[in-house]
Amino acid sequence: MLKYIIWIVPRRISSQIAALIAGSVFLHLIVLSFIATFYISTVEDNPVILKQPMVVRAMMIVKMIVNTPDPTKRAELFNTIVKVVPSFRLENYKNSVAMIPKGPGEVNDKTGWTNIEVPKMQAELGTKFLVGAKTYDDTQDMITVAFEDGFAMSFLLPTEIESDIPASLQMIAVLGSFAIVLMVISIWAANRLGSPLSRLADAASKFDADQPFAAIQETGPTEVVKVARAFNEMGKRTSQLVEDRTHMIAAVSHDLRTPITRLRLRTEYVENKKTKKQMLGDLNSMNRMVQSALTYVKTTRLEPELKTVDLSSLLQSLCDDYADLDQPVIFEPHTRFPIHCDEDQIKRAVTNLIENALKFKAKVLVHLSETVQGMIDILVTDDGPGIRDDKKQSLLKPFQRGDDARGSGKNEGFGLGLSICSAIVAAHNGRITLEDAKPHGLVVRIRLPLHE
Amino acid sequence: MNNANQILLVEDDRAIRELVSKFLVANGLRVTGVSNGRDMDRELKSRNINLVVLDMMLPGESGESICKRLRLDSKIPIVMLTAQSEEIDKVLGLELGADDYITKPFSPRELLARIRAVLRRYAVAPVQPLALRDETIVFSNWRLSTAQRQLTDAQGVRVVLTSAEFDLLLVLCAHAGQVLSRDKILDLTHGRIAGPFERSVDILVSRLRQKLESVPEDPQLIKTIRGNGYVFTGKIA
Repeated sequence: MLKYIIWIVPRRISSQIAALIAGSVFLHLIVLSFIATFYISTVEDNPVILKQPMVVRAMMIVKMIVNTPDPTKRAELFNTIVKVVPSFRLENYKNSVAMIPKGPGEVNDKTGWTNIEVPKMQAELGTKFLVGAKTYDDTQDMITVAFEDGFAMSFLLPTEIESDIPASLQMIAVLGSFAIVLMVISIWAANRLGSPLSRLADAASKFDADQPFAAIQETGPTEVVKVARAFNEMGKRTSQLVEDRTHMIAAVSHDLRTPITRLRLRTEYVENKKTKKQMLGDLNSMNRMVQSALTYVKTTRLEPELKTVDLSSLLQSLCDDYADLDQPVIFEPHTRFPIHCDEDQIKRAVTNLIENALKFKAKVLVHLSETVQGMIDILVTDDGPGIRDDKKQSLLKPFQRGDDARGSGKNEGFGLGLSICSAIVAAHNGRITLEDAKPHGLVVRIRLPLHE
Repeated sequence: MNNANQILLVEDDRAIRELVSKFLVANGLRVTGVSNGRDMDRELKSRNINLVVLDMMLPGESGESICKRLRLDSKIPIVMLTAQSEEIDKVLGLELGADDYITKPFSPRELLARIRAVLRRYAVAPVQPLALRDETIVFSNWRLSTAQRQLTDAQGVRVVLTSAEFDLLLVLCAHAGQVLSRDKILDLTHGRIAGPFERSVDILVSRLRQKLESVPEDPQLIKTIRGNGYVFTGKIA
């Protein structure tokens, strides 16, 4: 039971507030319309015309006249009535009865009089009378009442019927519009409360420590402002921390170059050929690590510098440079393909993928594919050992090395190659995916949008 | 010949300076080592220097600025020591106009080989590096910028060339209408385009045609003169 109630309660603050207000207004409406219906129901079944306040007054007059049989008192009463209702006058009974049709609702075409039936009033007064109405002028109708005891009177009534909606409905309409106004205000208020919170949630989920921190607006109710302020402060601290660390990585890597260069020069004086070869190997991998750390820092901090570049010639040049060094890297020629990108960064990304494959003595094929509208795929395929499915995703994160199949040999770097590539592709609003090559090997697919 | 060559090494790290000097001296060069631009200027005035080996990252005045300055008022050959290979275009292009570069950490043998190559080039003819004038060569629908070492098409799309392809195209453009033999081309590009194969010029020409010509099989810009070499037949605006 409780579960069911929880289920129907809306989740969002704004909806909850709106539902609460809507619910209470609705309850009020029900109660009020009950009361209204109860009090006003007495007039409800009377003909339209008799619901007018003027008619009510007229009927009160009729009542007073009927209840005042004494002729002197009646004369006094008439004088008073004429003062209040100027159009009031006494009529010739016979003439009046002759003019008004007898059947309820009937119309006398010649005289223009219509019979109006008022059974309730008749019952209340205990006397029989005839009521007729006739157009008097553009704005007024004339009403004539003829009593059985030979007394007749007439008065004027505005033609325009003010409203044919029952008073209870009128009340509901008033309350309803009030409710709508309340709802609109409450939705606005709820939004005012809710939207800073959603903004905060958006900012928190988009938060990327590698990007400069963009503070969110500190607006809304006090509590929300407090949360937003705390979030901004936390974001700034985190960004600062990441930046400090990044600077440290850059500084360490940068400074390591000098000792590496010194060592590289010193190895020239190592006599033992085997030792010398090993030292050169070690220095090479040290240098690669330093280089990749610096590149990682650079690519994750820099906005890509976009220019229109022919992707086909870019990849062709890259692969030709490898081919010239006798490396098995082939680009499958493609027609010219201009794209908005940062030439150096795309080169860096593809270079990393090629270097990665070459480490496993694999042959590399680079080609372009236009399978998806508005996108271009750069595919780097190798026939190396490939990567296990469960490792594919994690390899795109920094400092992750390949699994055993692909071997984390002694020449491996920090495992930044793929993450640099991933960061570059992300900065170009692209996507990178790792797939299996047939019969074995790895396909890295870089999907770039054509228009930024 | 090398015995006479005096090298000026501008490098702030003492150990590197000494190690490089030791190696070069052992290989028949005379070397003076300094640690900054000011000392370099003093040495240049007091001695006859044949070549400057200049570190890109120097305290005080940077290697970049020193290189630019040297290029303005002297024809002295410069080999740069750079930190990143990405800076090639900047180092060799108009911006710095160095004759060659080597990336740290480097093998002293390779540095020696490069120094010798540059000295040999200057000994034959004291030629200026190719791209020393800031100009844009316009031919057909192409623009070749010597300053940025870039080729762009009529729509402003950059078509990427390898460093060797760029050097070759620049030489061909500079000698438009003249038949250039393979040897002459190698000379004019300062040997920089020479790959591990003899037919590297042919390969480069064919790659350039793939990128430049609308029908590479029927070239309109770079024509083969059978038995002789190549001629650039594009109209230079």
